[in-house]
Amino acid sequence: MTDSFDSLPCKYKVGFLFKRVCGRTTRIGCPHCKGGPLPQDSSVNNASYDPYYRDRSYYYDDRYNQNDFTDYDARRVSREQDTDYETDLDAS
Amino acid sequence: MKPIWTQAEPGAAYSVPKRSSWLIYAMGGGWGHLTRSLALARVAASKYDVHILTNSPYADLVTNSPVWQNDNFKGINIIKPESIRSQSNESTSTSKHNPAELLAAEIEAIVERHAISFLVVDTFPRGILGELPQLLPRLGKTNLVLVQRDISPDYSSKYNLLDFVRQNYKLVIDPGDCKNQQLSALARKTSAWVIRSCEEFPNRNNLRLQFGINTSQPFVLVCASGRTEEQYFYARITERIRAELPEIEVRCLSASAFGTAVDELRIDYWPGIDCIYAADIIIGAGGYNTISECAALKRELIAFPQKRLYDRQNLRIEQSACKANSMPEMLESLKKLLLSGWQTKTSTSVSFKNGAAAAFELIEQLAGA
Repeated sequence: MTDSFDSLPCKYKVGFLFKRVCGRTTRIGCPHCKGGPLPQDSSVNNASYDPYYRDRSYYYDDRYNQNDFTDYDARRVSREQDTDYETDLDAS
Repeated sequence: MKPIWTQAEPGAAYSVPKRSSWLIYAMGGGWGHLTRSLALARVAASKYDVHILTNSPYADLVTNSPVWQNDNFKGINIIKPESIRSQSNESTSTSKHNPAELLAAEIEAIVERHAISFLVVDTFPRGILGELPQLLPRLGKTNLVLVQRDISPDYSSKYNLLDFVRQNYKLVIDPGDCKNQQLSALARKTSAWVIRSCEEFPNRNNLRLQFGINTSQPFVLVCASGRTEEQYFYARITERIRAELPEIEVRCLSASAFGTAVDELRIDYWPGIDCIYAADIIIGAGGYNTISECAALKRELIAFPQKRLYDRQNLRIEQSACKANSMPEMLESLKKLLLSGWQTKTSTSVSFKNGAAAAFELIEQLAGA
């Protein structure tokens, strides 16, 4: 447990482009520490802020993969496939 | 809309001589065919009456927009195909007519009614329903021009488009896009066509204020283009950027409201190229106009290749944009761009060659040929 975790408002540095003190008065529902203490070498920690390190684990969380991209989306962005030509007025 | 110079006052001593007319065939879904056709029509309307046949669901949004009302779009007449609309209102079991035959008959009637001297067909040499092979041979006095946006080689070989185009069109123009090797070889290539010329852009700061951007933070624009049912895909992207990067400004350019909190970030504006000019980074798809407009204005584009029947967005994106196949990929690319010094990359000056002007000259030469 780090020193930062013991005191509220939270003193962790958060933010991607513009690092700032978190300032939350509760850790419940916090998207950064998710309610738990961060290790000393955490990417959200003031001393070693690395957005890509943090974000990679954050992005590839199953929760986001499921919610952000539906099967419908996946089919749409896949490569074009042969279908019936000259039948769909809304084709492009 | 009737062009003002063809309207003679009753009892007038003389009427203004009727100008020659163009018909631009812009059938097909989404924004692309209509926007590309409008880019050409704006140039041609200086000398000709221009009619655009379109079934785009966004046509009314264009003609009702303040820019259409106030800017120089006089002389351009948008026509929606009646035969298709009446067909869709009938049950298929009672319909006695083939939609392709109905559409061909309607186009022929338009050509006769407006004494069309140039028929410019966008993208689909045979027409969106394959209706043009039966019609084109009957249009003996009309100059036939094909605008060959990129198109699937599978489609072109299946219907032997190479021979069809050779036999039926006097001129083929590639609007800076065609990667279909066979068809491209027939075409005269121009720069990409865009709807505004360099000197026509509104003041960038005023545009940003109009879109609620009153800070110097980076402005990321999500372009909800494509089919109407695809709009919510872009709404989710907008939501995610707002949640992930609250420090930046994000807006979603969309033709219709979502009924969600994203509407607070929605921009309701036409033409979209003004929004791209106002923005720093664009998130969108790989359609012709998004790619061309970002390239002309030198805006970074992160693009999701959307599946299309004829278009090949993957190819276009791989050549001209940063490709994203998932939300995490898009976010990672966006963050890299933001960290790479976006301020110095966004160009506020505008300098590009609009291929629509060159295309107009090529088409006009047919009249003297």
